[in-house]
Amino acid sequence: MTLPIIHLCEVLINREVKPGFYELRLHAPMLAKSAAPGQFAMLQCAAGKSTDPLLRRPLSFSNVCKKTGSIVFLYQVKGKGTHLLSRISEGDYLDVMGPLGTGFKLPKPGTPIAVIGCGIGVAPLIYMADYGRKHGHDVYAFIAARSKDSLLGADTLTASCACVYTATDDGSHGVKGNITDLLDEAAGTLALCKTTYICGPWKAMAVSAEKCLGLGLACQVSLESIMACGIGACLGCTCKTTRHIHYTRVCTEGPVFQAEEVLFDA
Amino acid sequence: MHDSSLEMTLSGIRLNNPILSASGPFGYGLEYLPLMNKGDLGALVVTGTTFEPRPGNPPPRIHETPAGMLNAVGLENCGVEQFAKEILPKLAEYNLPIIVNIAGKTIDEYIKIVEYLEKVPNIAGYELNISCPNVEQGGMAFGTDPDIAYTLTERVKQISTKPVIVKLSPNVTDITVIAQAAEAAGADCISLVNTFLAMAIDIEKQRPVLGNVVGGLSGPAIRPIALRMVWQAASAVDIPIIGMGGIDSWESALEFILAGATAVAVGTAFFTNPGIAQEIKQGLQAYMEKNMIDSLEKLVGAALPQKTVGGCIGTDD
Ligand SMILES: Cc1cc2nc3c(=O)[nH]c(=O)nc-3n(C[C@H](O)[C@H](O)[C@H](O)COP(=O)(O)OP(=O)(O)OC[C@H]3O[C@@H](n4cnc5c(N)ncnc54)[C@H](O)[C@@H]3O)c2cc1C
Ligand SMILES: Cc1cc2nc3c(=O)[nH]c(=O)nc-3n(C[C@H](O)[C@H](O)[C@H](O)COP(=O)(O)O)c2cc1C
Ligand code: FES
Repeated sequence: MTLPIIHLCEVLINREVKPGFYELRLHAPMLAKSAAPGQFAMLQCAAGKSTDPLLRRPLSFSNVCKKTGSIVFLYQVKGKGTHLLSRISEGDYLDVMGPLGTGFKLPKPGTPIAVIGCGIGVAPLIYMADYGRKHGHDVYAFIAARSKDSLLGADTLTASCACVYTATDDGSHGVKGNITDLLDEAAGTLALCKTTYICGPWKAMAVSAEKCLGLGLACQVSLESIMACGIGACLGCTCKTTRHIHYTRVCTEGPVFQAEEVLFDA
Repeated sequence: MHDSSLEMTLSGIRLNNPILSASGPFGYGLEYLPLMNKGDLGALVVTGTTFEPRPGNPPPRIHETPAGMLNAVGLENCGVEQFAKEILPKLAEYNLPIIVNIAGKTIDEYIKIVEYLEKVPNIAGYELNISCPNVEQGGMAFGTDPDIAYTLTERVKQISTKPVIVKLSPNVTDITVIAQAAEAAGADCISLVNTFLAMAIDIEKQRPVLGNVVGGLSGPAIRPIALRMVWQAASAVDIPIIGMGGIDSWESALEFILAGATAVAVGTAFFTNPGIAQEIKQGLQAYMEKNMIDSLEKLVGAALPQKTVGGCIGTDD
């Protein structure tokens, strides 16, 4: 039984990159070809016919390599599903549904862009930064985390970015402070970037977006929501946006939205 | 593979196989159907439809529980008019019987929706949702009061030219009472179960997890109870039954059929496995071939003892 949207992928790498954070690399030529930055997949974390956990878990593509036909996820162990995922060994197979959702959009050619991420929110931005650079954009990264032990992408992003600015709550890496402090600190560079891409916890995303919009920058945010189907059928993942009087499905119309569309306080 | 053995008629609706989408998880079918093969699904039961559009409940709307999930979507839907004008035409290409799940706040709303749909082509039947736990008025209230269930069914039957399925709530003490009320009022078929009223609490926030406080439990967690209720209902009524509740394999679908369901519906299992309908279909066919059974009808209710009058099955304790 194979539907075009379901991919049985061999695990190439599944390793802890920082305490509680894992990199998962899968052999998935079809997905590597079709997955765009900002899109996501729903992974089956339960083994075999186990119903625990019952639902798939959404993860953003953190990078793809078309040449080798591999895809990368970066994930944080949060609960049962991601814990089980972290136990999977190289050579095992994973059931991956995707690519899903509407991803990031590139701006006019030649304009500088910024990726702004907090914690695990950096995951989709690594792919976006790479994609942006390949399309001729200068990319600047602004990333924040609690401490250097949870700061993701600081190394990876240097390959695709003109500059990587970092902040940690405890000052163990970069500026001491949160994402807002970092954006204030590097406001000069930020203002050069005509388009910004933000992902992170809801509140951090809301304040970062407000800052970017305040500077007159275009701003795209990648939202999170609890999902059941991931394809727009169940109406479980909705949020409030200006697109509809009622609710908007994060899984199909998003997860990426223009920041000004999202009603963060609703 | 030749699949005439699964072909059947359900209250006058011709089905290619006995596997239906449960109303809700499958939306209007526009997301899942393009992923599936033609003929995998016997009929499409669309999401709960109200007269006016409904926004649904505030998030979070879903929460996973052991082998199950809670939902409090709250019947978000575009209303009957937009469904008929914009969505129904898009479903034509799938060439499937379409059953509209109808949810009203009042008996008059159900009537208005049926009156509207009577003028719309390409609808095979109605499923009266008298069992939604996620709305304040109507919904489950109709499904727990046999007198209201009777009146509603009778009034819809008076104006309907199509088969009427009454979808029962499991949130009752005795499912046979409501099942018999629906049958007495002229229902062509009953379907059960809808979700079980349930909740979860966030221990950090010390508040209910769902925006709506309570929600409906679905998935394999409810299957043994759903099966028991289908069995009880099958013992109590003669009209066909659509059985559902946690079906996620051909084996579990077959259990419902053996308990007396003429057809089965699948909801939550689509989330994990969008190919589930085909798997059930092929599994049932293989089972029938292995056991040399030429028609599924022979399996319907095969596990039941001789039907007893009144049909109530007790437990020993
Ligand atoms: C479009 C999208 C892309 C995502 N991309 C990534 C990614 O690249 N890397 C990554 O590590 N995580 C990502 N997430 C979040 C990830 O899906 C959740 O952390 C994961 O589902 C938790 O599952 P669990 O079984 O480990 O935890 P659970 O036991 O299910 O829950 C543990 C905690 O996580 C929260 N949670 C559960 N599901 C979600 C969810 N879907 N979104 C947000 N919080 C959730 C719960 O409320 C709870 O507090 C993404 C989520 C979405 C919607
Ligand atoms: C997200 C979701 C939405 C639902 N919406 C409806 C609905 O609109 N009308 C209805 O009659 N039942 C609705 N149901 C109930 C299902 O049709 C079905 O009765 C129930 O989920 C049990 O089957 P399952 O365990 O296979 O999902 C919904 C269930 C879920 C999970
Ligand atoms: S997760 Fe089902 S509609 Fe978005």
